[in-house]
Amino acid sequence: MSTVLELKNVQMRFGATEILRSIDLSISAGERVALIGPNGAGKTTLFNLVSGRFAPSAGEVWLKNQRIDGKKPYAIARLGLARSFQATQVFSGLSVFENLRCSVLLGLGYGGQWLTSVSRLKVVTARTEALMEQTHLEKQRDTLAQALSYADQRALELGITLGGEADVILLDEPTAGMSQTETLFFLELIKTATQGKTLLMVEHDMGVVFGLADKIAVLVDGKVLAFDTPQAVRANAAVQDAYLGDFSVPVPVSA
Amino acid sequence: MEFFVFSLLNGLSYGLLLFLLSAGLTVILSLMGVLNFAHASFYMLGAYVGYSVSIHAGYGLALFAAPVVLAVLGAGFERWVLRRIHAYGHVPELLITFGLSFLILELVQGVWGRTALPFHPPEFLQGAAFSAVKSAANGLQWFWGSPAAALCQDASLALSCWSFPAMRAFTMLVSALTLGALYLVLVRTRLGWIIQASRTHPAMLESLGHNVPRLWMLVFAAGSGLAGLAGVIGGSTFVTEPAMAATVGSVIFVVVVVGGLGSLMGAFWVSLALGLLQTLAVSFDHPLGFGVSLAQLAPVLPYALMVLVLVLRPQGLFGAKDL
Amino acid sequence: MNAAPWVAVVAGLVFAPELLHSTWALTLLSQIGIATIACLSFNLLLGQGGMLSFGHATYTGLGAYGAIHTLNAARAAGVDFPVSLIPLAGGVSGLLAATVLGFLSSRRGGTALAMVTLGLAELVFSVALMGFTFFGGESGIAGNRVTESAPWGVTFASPVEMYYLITAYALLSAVALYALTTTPWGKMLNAVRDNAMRMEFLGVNPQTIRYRAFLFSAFFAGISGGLAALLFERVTPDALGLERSASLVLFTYLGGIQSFIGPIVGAVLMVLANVGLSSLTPAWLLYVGLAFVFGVMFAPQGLTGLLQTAMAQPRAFYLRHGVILFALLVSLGVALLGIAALVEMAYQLQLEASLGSNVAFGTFQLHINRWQDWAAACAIALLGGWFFLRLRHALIERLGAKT
Repeated sequence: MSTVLELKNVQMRFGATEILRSIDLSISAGERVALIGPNGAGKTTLFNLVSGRFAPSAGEVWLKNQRIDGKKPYAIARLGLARSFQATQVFSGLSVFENLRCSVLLGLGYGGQWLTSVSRLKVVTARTEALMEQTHLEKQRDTLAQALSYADQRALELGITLGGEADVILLDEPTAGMSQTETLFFLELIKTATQGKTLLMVEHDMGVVFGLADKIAVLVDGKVLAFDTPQAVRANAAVQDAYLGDFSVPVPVSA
Repeated sequence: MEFFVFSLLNGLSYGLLLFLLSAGLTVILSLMGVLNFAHASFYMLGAYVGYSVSIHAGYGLALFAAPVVLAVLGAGFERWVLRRIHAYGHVPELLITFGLSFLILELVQGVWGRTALPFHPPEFLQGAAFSAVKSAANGLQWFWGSPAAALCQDASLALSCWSFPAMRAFTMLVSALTLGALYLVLVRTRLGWIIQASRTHPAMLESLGHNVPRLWMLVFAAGSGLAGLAGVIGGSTFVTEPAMAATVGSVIFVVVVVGGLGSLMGAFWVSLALGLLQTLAVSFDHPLGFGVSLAQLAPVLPYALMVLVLVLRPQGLFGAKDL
Repeated sequence: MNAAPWVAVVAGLVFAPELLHSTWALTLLSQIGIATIACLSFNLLLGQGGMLSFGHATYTGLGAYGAIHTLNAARAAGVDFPVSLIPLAGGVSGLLAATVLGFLSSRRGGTALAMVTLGLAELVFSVALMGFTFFGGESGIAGNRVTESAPWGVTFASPVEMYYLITAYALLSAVALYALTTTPWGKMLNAVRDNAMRMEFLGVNPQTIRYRAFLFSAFFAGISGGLAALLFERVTPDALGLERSASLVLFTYLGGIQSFIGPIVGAVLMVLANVGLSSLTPAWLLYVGLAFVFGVMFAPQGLTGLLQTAMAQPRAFYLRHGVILFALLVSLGVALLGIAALVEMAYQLQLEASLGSNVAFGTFQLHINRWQDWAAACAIALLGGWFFLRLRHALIERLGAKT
């Protein structure tokens, strides 16, 4: 199994505050990894580092055998990495269809093309419509993104992330604020959409985590406390002390 | 050498005036995220109001009245117009302040006319603060005030005469005092800390019981008042005419872009640098070839500096990297 | 997109010289055509890209200079360069300018972009005033568009021929600019406008998108400038001035930046204001400014948006609320008349020395030294305003109660 995403001794400091102390993480191709940990542990910071929002204070980040720390977000995205945001970041003035079409256009390589009308690109329209159906947004096709409900906006957020055909996907709390049914739907969507791709997902919902992840990375106090299969992590005493407590294991959510 | 000293002083006084103006703009920008396009128009309005007050009630009163009038206007604008637009986003905010600048220009021309006004400083500030005369007989002599007229007019007596206008000295004094007070308020008083906090954590501040909207109104009013004060001084030192807003406005926007949006330190250094640069360019006035002299190039210098910074360091000298 | 109204518009434009029989009207339409291209190109930046540029006249102006120099150079060299292609020379000039200026402008977005475009506009304008031969100093550069060789009998001496040239370019430019908005790049531009940060994480460098927007926009702006150079046969540094840039911002916004035809409406308003309103009252810029400020506050979609909203209401809406709407409009009209009267009188105060103490207001004569006139104007303004606010309140309540 080849390593697709690797963090070597990554540290992140904001002024005097250390957020990430020394992160070593190695994710293989096709692995679905859940990143869990208490609030303030540094999960979103880690995402920001990997996706290029800022450069680490120290250490290296490698994506597909290329060093990406310090690179601009768009350079990293072009290498095949896509991320979603905890605070929904959609194109508020565009309709659902237009939102999704954006990432589809980029995924299919039509980015700067200025010589044909989009309506002529049948492949784009077909792929966008498929994406709309996948995210259950086909009824909102022409609704402006800013007019969508919270859940629909989260679905759109997810759709935009998935639409670009990236093979390394970072999802930041995709099911936050969802009801049970919505969470189930999102879980299925993520499962199918990330089939064969590498996934790193921040999640608080343990049901989703255990239902989806091949491996779990536990981030506490800026360090990776454990990185192992769900069963091993569940049984890990240090993890239980620091984060999970003595909870009773939930039945993994499955279809 | 004396030439250098006097040019330096002139440049500093202009630079400090620029900073007085751009400080208000920067504080409003960093606190409220609004770039007040009409800031230079407030400067102009301050000069005109100051002029009217001074011819009826004296210069001293003008120095107090103009800032107050502008502060009230600024507060009103923030409260009833800007606050409403704030929710629409940055572009509408820029557009509304741009619209305001347009309106103020028209109003000023309508009320005071299109020609330059004879806004003179009071008698005691009209001469020189100090002068230097270099003569063959006595070498370099320094005087308080202006040298005797006879001394300077006779070429056989004096080789060169330099004087530093009292009005410029006054400008430096007022600017320095005001900015010093501003610094103390921001850094040493509770109000200043609250203002600094509202820049990054307005929601937190509101839940602690502070009235953030009213704070914004206060800050906007203070910034406008500063612009008004700068207007009275600038208008009586340099010129009071409808074009003054556009001329100085573009320069302070350059100051803000080059210094880094929202950075007071940046605004300080760039204001001084530009003030010195422009004044020295006009003083040296060396021909540069192509039928152009350095003095002719002076108006272009701020923008040339802006281009340079944009190429090398787009976020400005002290600015934070962003999109 | 419904084709019928467009066919009618094009037909109207084609047959206008026959229908209008007036040189003045043709010149007006010609100016509107030129302004249309300028405003449409500007809206590529503002409406489509969210980029507020305060220096768009730099491109129209440099395009004008490029065009007139090409015209003169070709004449001097004896080259038979077709006059009808001169606007393209203007377009290329604008494009060349944008390769440098547009690059500098697109380094940042948002507020910084606005300031940078302003600074660059000042830079170019200052340089133009320095007296280089390229800009021709205060009197500018003159040219002669009348050709000696007359391909198909066209010499461009007559206003009709210029009108058709301008109209042709206006239609082609409008089609081209509209087509651009339908391309993948055009959609990227809209997305960058809405959320540049998200686009970065999708693999797009916003600067590249913005830069290209400047290139396209400047090309068409240059065409507009080139046409103006041909129409007036003179280009002065004013063409690069900040008043011109401000005018583009104001009127494009008033027309409506959120729809494609908004800028066209804005262009019509711009020419009518510059040509018509300016001769009616010295306060015309004040009125434009006031309209703009109120537009930003209450009608961000501009005149086009207002009309579209009005037309989108079902007939039932008008049947139900027709009376109150009518009363609203009347009271607004009355209030505006009162305000206008006050403004005219105030302006006359300034002009009293040279033009006397009466100002014409429609069929009335207002006397600025009669307090009754002032009081009457005040009263009318206040009355109209009071009624307007009351009726508006009532309508809002009604609409709220209905839903």
